[in-house]
Amino acid sequence: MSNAIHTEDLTKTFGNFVAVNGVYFDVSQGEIFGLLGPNGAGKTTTIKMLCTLLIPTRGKAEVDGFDVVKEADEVRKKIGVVTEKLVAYDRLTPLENLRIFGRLYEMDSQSLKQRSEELLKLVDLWDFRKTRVGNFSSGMRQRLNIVRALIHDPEIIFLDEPTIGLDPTTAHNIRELVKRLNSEEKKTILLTTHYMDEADRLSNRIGIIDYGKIIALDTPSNLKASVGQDATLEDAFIKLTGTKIRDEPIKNNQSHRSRFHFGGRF
Amino acid sequence: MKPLKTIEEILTIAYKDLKEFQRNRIGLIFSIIMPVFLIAMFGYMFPSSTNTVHDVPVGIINLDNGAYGQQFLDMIHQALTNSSAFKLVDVETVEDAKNMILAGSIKGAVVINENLTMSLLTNNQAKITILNDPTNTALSAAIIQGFSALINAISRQFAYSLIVRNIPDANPQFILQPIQVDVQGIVEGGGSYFDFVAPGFIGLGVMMSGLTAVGVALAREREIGTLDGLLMAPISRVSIILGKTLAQTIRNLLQGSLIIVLAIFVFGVHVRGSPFLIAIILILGTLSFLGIGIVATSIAREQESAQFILGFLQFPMMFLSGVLFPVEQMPLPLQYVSKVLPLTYAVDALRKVMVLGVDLSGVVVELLLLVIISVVTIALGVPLFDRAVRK
Repeated sequence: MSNAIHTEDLTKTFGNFVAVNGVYFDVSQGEIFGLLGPNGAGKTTTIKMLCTLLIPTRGKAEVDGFDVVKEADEVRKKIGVVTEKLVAYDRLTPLENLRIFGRLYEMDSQSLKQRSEELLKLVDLWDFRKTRVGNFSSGMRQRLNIVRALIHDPEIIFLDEPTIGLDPTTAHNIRELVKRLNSEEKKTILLTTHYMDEADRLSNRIGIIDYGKIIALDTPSNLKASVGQDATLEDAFIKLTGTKIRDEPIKNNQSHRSRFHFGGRF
Repeated sequence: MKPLKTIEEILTIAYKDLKEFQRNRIGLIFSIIMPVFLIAMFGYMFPSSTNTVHDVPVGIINLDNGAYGQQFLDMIHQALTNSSAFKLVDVETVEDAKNMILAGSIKGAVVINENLTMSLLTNNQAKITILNDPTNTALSAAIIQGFSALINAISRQFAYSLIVRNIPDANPQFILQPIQVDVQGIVEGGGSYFDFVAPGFIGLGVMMSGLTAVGVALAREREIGTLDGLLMAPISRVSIILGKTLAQTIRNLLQGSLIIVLAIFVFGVHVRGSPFLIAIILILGTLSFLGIGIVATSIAREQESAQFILGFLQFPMMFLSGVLFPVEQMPLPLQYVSKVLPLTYAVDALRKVMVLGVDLSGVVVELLLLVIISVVTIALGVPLFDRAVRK
């Protein structure tokens, strides 16, 4: 099976701070790959480099065979990204939001109309298609966030903490949707989450990143077995990363947020 | 970069921004109320400002061929030899003077009428005309006040000589005031301080929203997370910036037009020039301020620093571009500073078109300067922005 994502010595530094330090991993086509790690471990920076939002300081990354720096536009056409923050305009309706993003992906009006209806029905937002997003609950917003990322039918989907802060029912429905996208539509999914149970149930393989390095990469069952019989994924995670509470390196984090994240090229 | 694809991307971003703006009712209302409120406030606060002026160029025309005409011309020149307020410029005809006022090279003119000597020799009242520029009421008031005082002083000297000579059968009115001051505006109807401040505040509104528009819009999109969505789409960065620039230009044009309509109906502001020309000035003004805003946002390391830089540019522009007070009332060094500010040219062009009704040829210099500022700053700003965000 060919690789949907391939990284080699992928590194990102902000000043003296090394956020991602020589990361190597591959994600196969049609796989759900969980990327886990404590806060500030380098998960989001890794995803941002793969999504062309940040330029790697060193190393290489390919998405669907395209280089994330040299062929950024090709990469962008192949990926759909669900970020932690809602990527939709509050003053517009779900239909208007999907129309805007669909047009940016060069979709024609007819297929855009069909795809919007299909996706909004899929996440039970069709009845609210003309309601402004600003009036939505957090669950509705996250469902819209997901379908916005799927509007152009991408082959590879990045889900950055897709169920954070959601009630159990909405989180369950989103997990079911992720499973369906993978099993029925054969989408490749890279998932980050702090919910170990969610990662365990959804992922085919899991990579654990800490201090910018991949410190373990295996199937959930092998990771659990490495700790002991009846161990949970959380046990394996704690064994590998320790119990010390991490805070994001505020100074460096601010310095790289201080400029516009405008990544990519003209 | 494919041009058609880029145009479609620009239009999509612009459409999205305008749709959001249209739905932001409070923002929409206040963006219109603010300049109208300022016009009202300053219009009532300073209805007839006549502050001290410096080196104001005033034309002088002697149409009289007689001895008195030349004598009066010499007296006016002599009286103003050591004046720092006015600088006399010799002009041949009234038409030349009007054109020079329209072009801004002189701010008013004194006309010694052709029958002056004949009138005085035949014991009839003579007239000296002061031509003024109604776009600039404060400066006009200073010119009228200064030259009326001077002409009246000359008139009094002449009256004294008449009394001494004890001319029989002379008209008492002629004895008391042999020379009358006649004030004429170069356009019908004159002008009010509202006429002066309205174009200024329209220009100011365009400047304030233009300077901060792209930076603030991008900062807002980054804060709420939607910028990542645009950056992860297969579109060029130029499209994002130009799409936002287009949306802001359309918004400013609509906003400026609405303010002009309100100024006409609420404050009786006179608009004599072409609405099309006014629209062009608003568009070019917006583009030049957007360009400066993009450059300022790009060179700042942080959003907060960008706001300081923009504030540093906004406040001097507000006071040095002739929005509130005529540039000529400022000390000379500040008058030079005003010449490098795009708001000076936008406001100047708006005043000329709105109040004097000049056509394209009358504002071609201002428009060219605004085009140059727009092209240079946008051409400089886009790559600077790219460099800043790719770090």
